[in-house]
Amino acid sequence: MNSPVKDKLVLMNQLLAELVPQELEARLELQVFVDPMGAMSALDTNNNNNNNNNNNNNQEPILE
Amino acid sequence: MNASFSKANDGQVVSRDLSAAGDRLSDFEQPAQVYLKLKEGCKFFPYDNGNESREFIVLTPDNRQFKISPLAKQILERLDGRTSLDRVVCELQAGGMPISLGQLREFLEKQYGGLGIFDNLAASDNQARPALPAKPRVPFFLHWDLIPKRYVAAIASPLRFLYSRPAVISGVALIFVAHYLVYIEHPAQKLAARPGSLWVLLLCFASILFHEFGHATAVSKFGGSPGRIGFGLYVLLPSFYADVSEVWRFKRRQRMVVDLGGIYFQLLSFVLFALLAATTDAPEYFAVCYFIDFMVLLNLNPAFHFDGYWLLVDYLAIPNLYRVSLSYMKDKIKRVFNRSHEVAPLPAMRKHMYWLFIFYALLSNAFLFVIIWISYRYVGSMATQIHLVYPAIYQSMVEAIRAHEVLRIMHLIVTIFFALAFPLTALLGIYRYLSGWLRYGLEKLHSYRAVNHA
Repeated sequence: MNSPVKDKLVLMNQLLAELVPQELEARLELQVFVDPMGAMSALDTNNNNNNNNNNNNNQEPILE
Repeated sequence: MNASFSKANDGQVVSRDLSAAGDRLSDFEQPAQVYLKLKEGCKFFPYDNGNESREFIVLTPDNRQFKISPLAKQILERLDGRTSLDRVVCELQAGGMPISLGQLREFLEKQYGGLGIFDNLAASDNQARPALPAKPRVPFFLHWDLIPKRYVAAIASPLRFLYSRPAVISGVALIFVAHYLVYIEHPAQKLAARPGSLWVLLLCFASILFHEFGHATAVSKFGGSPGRIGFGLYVLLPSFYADVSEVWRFKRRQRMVVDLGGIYFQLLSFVLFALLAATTDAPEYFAVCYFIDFMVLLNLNPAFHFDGYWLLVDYLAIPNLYRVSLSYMKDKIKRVFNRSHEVAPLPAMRKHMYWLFIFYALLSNAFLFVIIWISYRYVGSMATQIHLVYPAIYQSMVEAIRAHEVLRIMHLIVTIFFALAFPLTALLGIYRYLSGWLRYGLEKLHSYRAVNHA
């Protein structure tokens, strides 16, 4: 049941809610640099080294 | 100025100027006791929220901005050090608003005390909104200002013609032609020939810098003064940024142009690299073109605070969109279990915008899960290769130093940086996500225990 006290309370809550300030975020328009080449390079370096190791292992021993 | 406040017939509190109401105040007036004074540097601007209701921005002397209602603006304007708080309360009461002096004073202390906008009001207790830090928070681990404000304005000013209608039409047409050249005329196997990564990296950085000037130039085009351009580590990923905080005071359409300006400029740089690629056939330029498109697509993703996010913020005219969507979804879920739980109302918006908001709220949270899952998988796979990758890079570095290959050394330094930055970013992301959930769970547990003990 609506009482005048309750109405008054609701009205005041509405009023206070309307008065609350909302901070606006700092606007930094940003661009992240994701470097797929960097990631690829890390794997390449690893693969190259593996290949080198494999090539070395596959070489026939030199007989003197 | 005689201002007064009134309650509309539908029960909603609204404000309007009523000079006549001020004259009636003598009946209520109390002896003046409390005088609050708004700081000299505070300024008010209209905020374009895309609908008919009026809102304002108050700019504080330390360049912070707050969105406020017309009623809040009227109250703040009345607090000039000459009008007592008692009189303001009387005016509110005369307008049918049941608020006492103590209530208004306590409210102002709690909500405005920490903002530093009054000469003689500070936050009263630990319930109050905390005092703000001297500089706004930026989402960076480390950051440096590369180009100061005045140089940004000087460079942006002559570029404004790129936003004229003929320039935009021809620019967009050229962007389409350039994409045709790169993707249709010249197939993707150009990358089979290994492009020089360091050169590609430098050109990509140049395109990102041009991207930031796209935002700054748009601000300049609409009569604003663009802020600094800087470089930082977003978590641990290298990023450039342009400070365009001033655009909150622009019209909504202008804000959206500023948001898209970076991508527009970066795609214009795509045209240049596509022409170089087509004429020289060098794989480096093709690689740069692919990366530009990759970065543009990444940038349009609204799940992170990139351009796509700001575009959505301005289209929906909901500042702090991520937080609003999160609390809205939480309220909705709580309401499923508890019908009496109230959902915080959203600003008035059209139906398709509401569904876009819901789609964003679901997508951004789902996307977060996906990112956490990818990060987990990535960290897992890196952990199994870590004993191979890092020694291999180290060995290559030693060889490069012995052979005095400067370019290779620089390339390997970049490689080491990214080989560390990616997994650490993923780890930090997982940590922040899990610690957020843990904190939330502990808070709930504490409040549950408190209720049970009571």
